[in-house]
Amino acid sequence: MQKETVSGRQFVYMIILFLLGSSLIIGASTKIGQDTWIAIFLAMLMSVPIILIYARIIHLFPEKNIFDIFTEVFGKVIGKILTSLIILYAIHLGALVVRNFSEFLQIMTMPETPQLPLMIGVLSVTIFLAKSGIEVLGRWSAIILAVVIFVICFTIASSINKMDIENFYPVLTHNFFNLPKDAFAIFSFPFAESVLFLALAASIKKESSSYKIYFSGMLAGGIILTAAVARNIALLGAAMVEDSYYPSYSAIRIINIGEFLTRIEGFVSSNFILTGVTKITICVLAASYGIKSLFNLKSEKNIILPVSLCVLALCYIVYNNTMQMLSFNEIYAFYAFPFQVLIPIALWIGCEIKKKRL
Amino acid sequence: MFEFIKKRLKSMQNEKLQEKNTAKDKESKISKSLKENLGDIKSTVGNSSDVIMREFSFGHGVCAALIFIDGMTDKKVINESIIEPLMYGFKCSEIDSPDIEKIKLQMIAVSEVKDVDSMDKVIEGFLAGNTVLLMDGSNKALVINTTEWEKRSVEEPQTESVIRGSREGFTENMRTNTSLLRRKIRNPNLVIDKTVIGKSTNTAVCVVYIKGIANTELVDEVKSRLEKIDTDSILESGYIEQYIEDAPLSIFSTVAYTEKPDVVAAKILEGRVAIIVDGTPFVLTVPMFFVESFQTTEDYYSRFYFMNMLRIVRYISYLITILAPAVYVAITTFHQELIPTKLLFTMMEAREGIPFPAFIETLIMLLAFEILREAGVRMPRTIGQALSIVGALVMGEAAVSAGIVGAPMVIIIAITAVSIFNIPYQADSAAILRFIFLILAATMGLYGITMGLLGTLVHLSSLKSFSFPYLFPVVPFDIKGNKDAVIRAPLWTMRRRPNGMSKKNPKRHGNFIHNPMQRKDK
Repeated sequence: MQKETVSGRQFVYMIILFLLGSSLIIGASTKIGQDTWIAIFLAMLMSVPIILIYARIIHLFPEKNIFDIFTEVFGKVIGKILTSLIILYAIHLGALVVRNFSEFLQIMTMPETPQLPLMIGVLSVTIFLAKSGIEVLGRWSAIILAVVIFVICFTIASSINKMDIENFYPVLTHNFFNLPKDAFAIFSFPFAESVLFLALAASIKKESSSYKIYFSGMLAGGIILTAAVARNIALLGAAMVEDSYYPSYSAIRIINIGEFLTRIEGFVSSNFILTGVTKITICVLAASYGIKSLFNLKSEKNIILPVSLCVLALCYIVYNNTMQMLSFNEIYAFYAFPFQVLIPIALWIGCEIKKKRL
Repeated sequence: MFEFIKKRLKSMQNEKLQEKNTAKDKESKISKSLKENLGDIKSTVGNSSDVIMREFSFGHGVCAALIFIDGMTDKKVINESIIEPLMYGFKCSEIDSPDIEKIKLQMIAVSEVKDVDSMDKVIEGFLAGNTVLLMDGSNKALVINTTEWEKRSVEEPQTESVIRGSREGFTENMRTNTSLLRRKIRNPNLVIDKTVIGKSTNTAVCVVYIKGIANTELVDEVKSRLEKIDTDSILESGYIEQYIEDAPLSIFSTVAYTEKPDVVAAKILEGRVAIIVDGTPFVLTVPMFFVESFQTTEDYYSRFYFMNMLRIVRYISYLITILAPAVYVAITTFHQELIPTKLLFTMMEAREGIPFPAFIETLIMLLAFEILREAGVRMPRTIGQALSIVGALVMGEAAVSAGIVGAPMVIIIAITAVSIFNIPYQADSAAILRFIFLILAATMGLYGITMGLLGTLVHLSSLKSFSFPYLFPVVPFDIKGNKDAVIRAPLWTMRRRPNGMSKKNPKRHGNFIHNPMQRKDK
């Protein structure tokens, strides 16, 4: 079978959607209120070195994914251990996103529906998308990104009369140490989660530069995220942003144009569904690629269904309730640190040594 | 298990190859004896009453026979241009031996004559409406074109009517169809490549493209897919479509069809390949993109503002026709809060006393509509009026006043039914999608519809038509192609063909940019 390839531009789209993923709705809800947008910029700055490392790894080993590189650099035994760690991370991340998603839908739109059917619904689309392969995922991302950007622009444009620039003032009055802390939280969720793209890197078309892909993806994703966050702050004010679980959703509720265009918060949930499905699919695909190389399988297609079922099972048991989910979000940064930073740095050093020796 | 099946398949393929080889060996030659030849033909065609064998002799005792099929040949041509010159022509006394070359050159007064030396070609020849001349003592035969049969004249197509533009439609006769195309594109590079498919029907199939515009890979791919068809009958281009399409299990068709020569001409000028099948007015074009379903010829013939509006209307109609019943059911069942209060009251009032849930109500009405539509196609034309009365009055008016369905439901079904006719090419997929979305809406509300839409989108982006993505030019994004996708840019801005459709000759216009906006001679 011909190897599936994704053009550099479509890979950028995938990264943007992945970054927006769940963070567009729940992410960036921090303790520093009106300064959140500064925290996002700081987080983007913090993620520059780590993204350089990711891109460097892809650059050193083109047309290979992280799992192949593990075995090549660290040998079979350690390679397999690291591979299984990344697989676990991918499955866990997928489960977290699915859970965020179903919690959101249950709280906001369908309070009486149990979460399981919602999860099954989103995962069935995910399985379909993942089974169609990464090439289809690339094409899908191009369409979805257009829709997502349209929705964000539309909501900003239609709420402009309700915005209050005063909501951004005063700047930087919070506890000084909270800013880097929140920036670190935003760094680990969503920016450094793009470590999972190392698992899909084998499908990038040869001629495209990995640095360019990663940086333009991060920059565009960060700017869109900032726009959404700034919109929420301008509409709601710092206090309400801090209080609500889903600030974007609450913000859009305010929109009211001529008593006709009201209650369009469904728009925002569509955004969440679109980006969420993409993010879950990328997690599932990454885990499937990992299992494929872990057990030397021929194709990842047969693994997708079992992996998705694992995600389903995990997301069902991962939290007991919404409050647990929110409190886990606070320590997530530390949980994810080894996967996002330590392992890639180790891998990068290994890669450089390996390449020098050759 | 799988190994076994694989082996079985391989051995089957080998058998087929051997069959082909032996068939080639058997290809019988024409013998020198006329009697033997006639006996051969008789044993092949049996006692068919329409196969006529006219034996005669001419010149200095040369025995010959004409074989043709009554009803498929022009008798006047046979009488005056073949038999008469041979028997009474001023040169006929010079003929003393069955010299096929001399007769072909000097005696036969018909424009198209071929000489063949195998019995199969002879049989193929007269079955296609030609007249075959066999002579005693010669192991060659002449196939003389005398084709003439009853055919429908060129009429306005029933399925695709237009306000502006050519009203010609293809007919069942392949030569008429190719001539309609030739008349539109008078270009030596227009290639009309004929093959024969179908072991029993021997249907003529033409691959039409413009050399230098269509990609050679595409043409080769089409030809190789046609070659691989191994069936005994091709009765309509739909047969070909189902054998060559990329996704035979998808509800979306990846091969386009049309009845209009100007549509085919426009498509092959963009670099596509057309497939004309003898015996049907429907011509296939490949590759097909999803946006093609929303294009009509008038988009290009009329000015672009109004036509862009209509094109957007077509996109909206598509969404309405697949989503309207589903959204109605989802909103009335699960999300009443989305309806403005006043409207909600009106709707609830109309639904008061309806014995069924919204889902069943919609299902009944949709089913009724599908029944009516099918009946409208199949019924004899004479009872059309009775049907429309039954349809309009009984199904609509009476059902509402009897309190079986609500009035809003009738409106929804009506708009759904009317919208489908705006996009005839997607009508069959839309009818299926509509039911799928309806069921999703009834079970999971708007969430279900969203998931269904996403699933459809995934499926659409996984489709390919002859190695072109089905959603081209939206993804992969192509600015040249997008000048004719959701909107149609003015003709003079569409200077290039859609990207990738034609690698060799991407430009439509010459280097001189003809921009009416910058004309100096105002």
